[in-house]
Order: sequence, then C-alpha cells, then structure tokens
Amino acid sequence: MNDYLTGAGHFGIGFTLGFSIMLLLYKVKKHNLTVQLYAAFIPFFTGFIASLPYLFLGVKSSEPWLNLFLFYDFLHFNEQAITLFGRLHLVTLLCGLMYLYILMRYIALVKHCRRYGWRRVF
Amino acid sequence: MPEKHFYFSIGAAIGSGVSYLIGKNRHKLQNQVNIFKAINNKSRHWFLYFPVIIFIFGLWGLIPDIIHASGLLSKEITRGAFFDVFFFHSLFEKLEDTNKELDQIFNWVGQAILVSVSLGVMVFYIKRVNKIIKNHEKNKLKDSSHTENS
Repeated sequence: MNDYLTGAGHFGIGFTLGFSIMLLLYKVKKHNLTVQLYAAFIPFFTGFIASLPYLFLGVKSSEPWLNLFLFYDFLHFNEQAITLFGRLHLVTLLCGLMYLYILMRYIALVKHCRRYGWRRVF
Repeated sequence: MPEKHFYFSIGAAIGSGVSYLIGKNRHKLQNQVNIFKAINNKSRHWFLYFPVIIFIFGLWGLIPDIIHASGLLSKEITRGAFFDVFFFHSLFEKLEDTNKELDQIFNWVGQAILVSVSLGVMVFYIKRVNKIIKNHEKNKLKDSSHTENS
C-alpha cells in the first residue's frame, strides 16, 4: 500500500459520496422521473472531480486550493483515507457493487415502465 | 505491465459489440435458437440483463492475471504465446516491455473504454425508458380519442 492516496482512491471516495447523494435523491424525489433517470450520473461526476488533480499532479500535492476538488489535498496523505481506499482491488469491488446497484435499479425502472408506464409510484 | 483494467476493458468493448449484435437480432434469435427460446420463456425482459455478457467478456481478459495471482502458473508461462487467446495478453505485455510509454497509453485507453462502456449502458436504459413512456402516452391518446368518437 502506498503512503499517499492514488487516483483510484480519490475516485472511489468521490464515487461513494456521489452514490450517497444519488440514494438520498432517489428517496427524497421519489416521484420525479428526471431524478430517477439521471441521478445515477452524479457518482461519476463527483468521482471525476475528486480524481481530476491526480491526472495532472500525480503524487505531488501541497496546495490548499486543491481542496476545492473534494478535499483532494486533505485526503491525499490522510491515513484513514489511505487505509479505507488505498487498496485498488477493494476500491474496484466497492465501485463495481455500487454500479451493479445502479444497473439493477435501471432494469427495475424499465420493467416498471413497461408494465404501468410512468406512474408516480416507483 | 498494463494494469488489469486494460484487459478487462478490451473484453468489455468486445462484449458491448456482441451485446449490440444480439440486441439487433434478438427477435430472430428468440424465435429460432433454442437457448434464446428457453431464456425468453423464462423472462421476456431477458435482454435487459445484457451487461452480464460485457462482464463475462471482461473476465476472460483477466484470466491470465487470475492464474498468475493464484499461484497456479508463473508469470513467464502466462506470457507465453498461448495466452494471446486472452485478448492478446502476451503481445501487450511484450509491447509494454519494449516501450514503457505504451504502458501509460494502454492504461489511459483502458480507462476511457471503461467509462464509455459504463456510461453507454446507462444511456441505453434511459433511452429505453423514454421510448416506453412515449409509447404509453401515444396509446393513451389513441384510447381516449377512440372512446370520444364512439
């Protein structure tokens, strides 16, 4: 394990955060078709934002303004973040499972719409 | 060496192509080919599960790494000519050995393919839902105009 958080780790943190926002939106905006269709892009967006500096800077990170990218500078050498998201295979598994949930939800939505059209209860 | 996701992404890209072909010919397949007939009898929504095909093709590309990681065969053997069956595993490894810059390029290509495939699958479902809702609304309009005329 590295002594810094790699790009995959930053992506994993961003993806997890986006996934939580997506779940929250699914609950709060249950009756909104736009949310049901497009909220699943949020994890990808937040994951991309979180890992963006890594593409350009790699290991180096000592600029406080980088915290604008989902606390990139704070997380980069944070021990807890490295323990949780420092292992590539675990991040892959975690993101894979979250993506699986997104797909299962889409499949359920398609089945529901085939049967009932878009009704307010999904 | 190229990261594992590169080999997975090649499989995912091929799996997407296969899924596209199956999707295009699914009505013919489910009427004529026994396996597809059986699957269709089980669930008429069977094609919605096409990401499984993408995943299986992706796993095929990871087999040499899984064999190596589990300690069954050494790295030298998993770089033999036979292992080109797994999406040119040996060829890519040798290419990377001769030119280190290619390693980075392979990794970027792998990431780009994975993002395109995963977002593409989501776009497919969104388009499908929009189409179904449109059809439902059309049918509703037809029904209501039919009852008004009668």
